[in-house]
Amino acid sequence: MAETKLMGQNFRAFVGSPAAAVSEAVNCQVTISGNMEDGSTKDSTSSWQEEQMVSKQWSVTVESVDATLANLRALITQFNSDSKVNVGFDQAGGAQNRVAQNADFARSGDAILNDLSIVANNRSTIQVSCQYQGSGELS
Amino acid sequence: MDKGQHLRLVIVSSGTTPVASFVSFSTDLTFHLSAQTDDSTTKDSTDSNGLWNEYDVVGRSGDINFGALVVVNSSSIPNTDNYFQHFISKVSDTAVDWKLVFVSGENNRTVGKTVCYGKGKLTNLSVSAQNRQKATYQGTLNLYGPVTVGSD
Repeated sequence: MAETKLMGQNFRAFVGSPAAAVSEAVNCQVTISGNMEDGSTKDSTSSWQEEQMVSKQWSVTVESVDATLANLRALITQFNSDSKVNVGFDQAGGAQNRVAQNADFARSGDAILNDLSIVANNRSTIQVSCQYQGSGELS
Repeated sequence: MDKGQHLRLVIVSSGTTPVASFVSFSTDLTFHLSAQTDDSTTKDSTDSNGLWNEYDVVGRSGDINFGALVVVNSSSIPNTDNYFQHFISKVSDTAVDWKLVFVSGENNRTVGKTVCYGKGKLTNLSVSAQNRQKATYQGTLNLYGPVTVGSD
């Protein structure tokens, strides 16, 4: 069976309800990590720790060049809000690579916009970076 | 795509007649907001495998880092700009009003729509003066209180 190696532009973050691909995105990073605890006891007969996962978390970071007034205002409004937003990722294709393909690896969940950076340097395109910290299950 | 020179930091002086002042000869700007979250997972939390953490926002903070050229200007020259010399005295516990605005026109000094605004304290000012290079400085405005989205 032929394998398709996915290009970065076809792996996109989707935000909101209904979920929409983050516009003008240039980079996205998904991180899932677990917190481990040593489960070894006196019953353990070696000196090696026996790690077990006790909790886990996820986050999505998206960098884009969508620095329109409307988008910047919307992001700061979301940051100021206590409400969570639906964030996920999927294989994307079609028009502007924005159509979700419902790949087997697609996942989404509630998240908090917990870090927002706007970089506006002279003679450079404005860069917008958002980090969404997942809250609850990534399903 | 919007260019960096079209988004500028404006310091608004206090007083009966507030004056909006650009950071003069500015080169770079980074606006940063950060939310502190706390794990709110309890024994009531259930999901497919009982491992996913849940979070709530418990605090918000932010800062604005800006860079500019050190320019020597005479205090006798009337202007409404913020130069390096003006910032020296502003490194203090006194909050200043700031705005992040889109600009256009000559010297990118025609103020357009406001992205957001708030108060901040200038907590850091550092100069880099290397031989055969223009002297530059970086300032850090620690945001004080809420950031309000512009509505103009």
